[in-house]
Amino acid sequence: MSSNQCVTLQTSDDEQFKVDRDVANRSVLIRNMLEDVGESEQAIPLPNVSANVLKKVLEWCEHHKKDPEPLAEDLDDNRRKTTEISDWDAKFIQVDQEMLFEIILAANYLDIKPLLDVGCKTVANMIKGKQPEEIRKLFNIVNDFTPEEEAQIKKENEWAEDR
Amino acid sequence: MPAARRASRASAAAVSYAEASSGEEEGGRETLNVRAKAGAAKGAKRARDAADEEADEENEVEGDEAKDVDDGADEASDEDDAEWNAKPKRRKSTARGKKGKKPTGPDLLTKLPIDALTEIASFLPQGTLVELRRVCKAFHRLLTDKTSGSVIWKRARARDDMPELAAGLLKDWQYYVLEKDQHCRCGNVQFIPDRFLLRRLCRQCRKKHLVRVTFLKRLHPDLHPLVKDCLIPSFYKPGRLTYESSARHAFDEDIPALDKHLWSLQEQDEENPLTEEPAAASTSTRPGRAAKASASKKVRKGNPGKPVEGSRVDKFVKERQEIKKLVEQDARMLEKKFGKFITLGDESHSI
Repeated sequence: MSSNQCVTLQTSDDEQFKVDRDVANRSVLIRNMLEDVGESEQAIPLPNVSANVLKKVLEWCEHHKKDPEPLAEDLDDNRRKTTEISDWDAKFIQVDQEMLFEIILAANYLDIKPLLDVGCKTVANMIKGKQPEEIRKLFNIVNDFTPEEEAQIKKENEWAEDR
Repeated sequence: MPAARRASRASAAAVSYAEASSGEEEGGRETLNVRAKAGAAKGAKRARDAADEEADEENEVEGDEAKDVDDGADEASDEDDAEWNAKPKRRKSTARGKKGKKPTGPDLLTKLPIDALTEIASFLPQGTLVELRRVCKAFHRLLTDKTSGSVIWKRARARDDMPELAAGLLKDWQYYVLEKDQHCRCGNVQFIPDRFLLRRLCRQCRKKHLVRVTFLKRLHPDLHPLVKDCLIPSFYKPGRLTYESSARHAFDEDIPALDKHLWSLQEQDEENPLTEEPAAASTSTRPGRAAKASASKKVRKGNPGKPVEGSRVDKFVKERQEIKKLVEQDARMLEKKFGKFITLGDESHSI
């Protein structure tokens, strides 16, 4: 199988992107699709990803196309230990909140685990060490608890045996 | 972003995604669809409060659906969870009083699929997770849910090198608070957790709340006599946490619930005995037991001190004995692991 072949991807807003196969292969979803379909000239539809997001995602894939495949389970524990992000990724992910969440959604959908991690670590770093009110403000979250429920949660932090 | 644009984009995504449905990632699809619905609701109804209420309603629905998907994998239900996840209750609660503060932009974070939120939370330290639970219902569910919650907390504990406990009495956040918080419930700073009582108590509170188990009968003659066997007592002195005591002290607030529970089991046993042949059981060791049991039906405080083998009371007491053993085992392990004192910085605090 030649790996230098080009693949065409079609976004939700009907834009087409031509990329190297090893770039597209960063997405497990696309890789599986290509394996199923085999050699094909047809564009692969990505109905969940818009052009501006895919452009960004492909930028990441291009830069990381030579990365070794992450070992699914082995890496899991190590990954959890650190929220550090490489310099290039940190710069890459310096986008507004909307784009950040779009990238996370796209990485989740396209099944690009390392990119999903970069996005999730970035959000985690934004949340880390903040108080509830600060978190709500940062992400426009409405506090949908009643005062009674809030009191209940606070009480739950304290150990109270049921019987 | 303008609501209309968002709405059209989101619904387009949802529709086309539905077309392209690949069978996997059910959770993601549900969320996306609902996300689109929420967006559409926002775009269509610009009439302020109505639209807000609607969007809110959709949020609730999203949570439910995402939860449903999760539940599919793990049907095990938890009593506490059930309270929070009771659907009718939550739907109704949309009419609750709002806090007045309206966010300026769209809330994109909590609309992410559950697995993405789980990923994000998996990078957070336990202290932040405790705070995150208080942010909104979506996060509360995420961190309380059996599936996503246990994954998140376990990962966080592994990072903090906190061992898993065998007794399973503490909720994830309670375990963290017990070991890592610095305050007694009364607000006093207290660096020493009591891992038997599973509480942080300052010296004053210990003196106020701890009861010597052997004094229970004298202090509260009306208590079910088996309460003392069901309590999980501390091995430490009430006033001086650093000293172990040969006398066991229990936490007073544990007593009423245990008492009530034991009496209710007692009543059930008397009305509807589980054992087929109480006569046979009684002949084996104590002949007078069956008679006593029936006597105590009339007089509540007869002598329920010796439960019939296999009865509900008996089972419960044995269950509690097992838990007690596990709690003691956990407590000793934690002492070995973290020491009897919690050290903050270079200072080691003692009472």
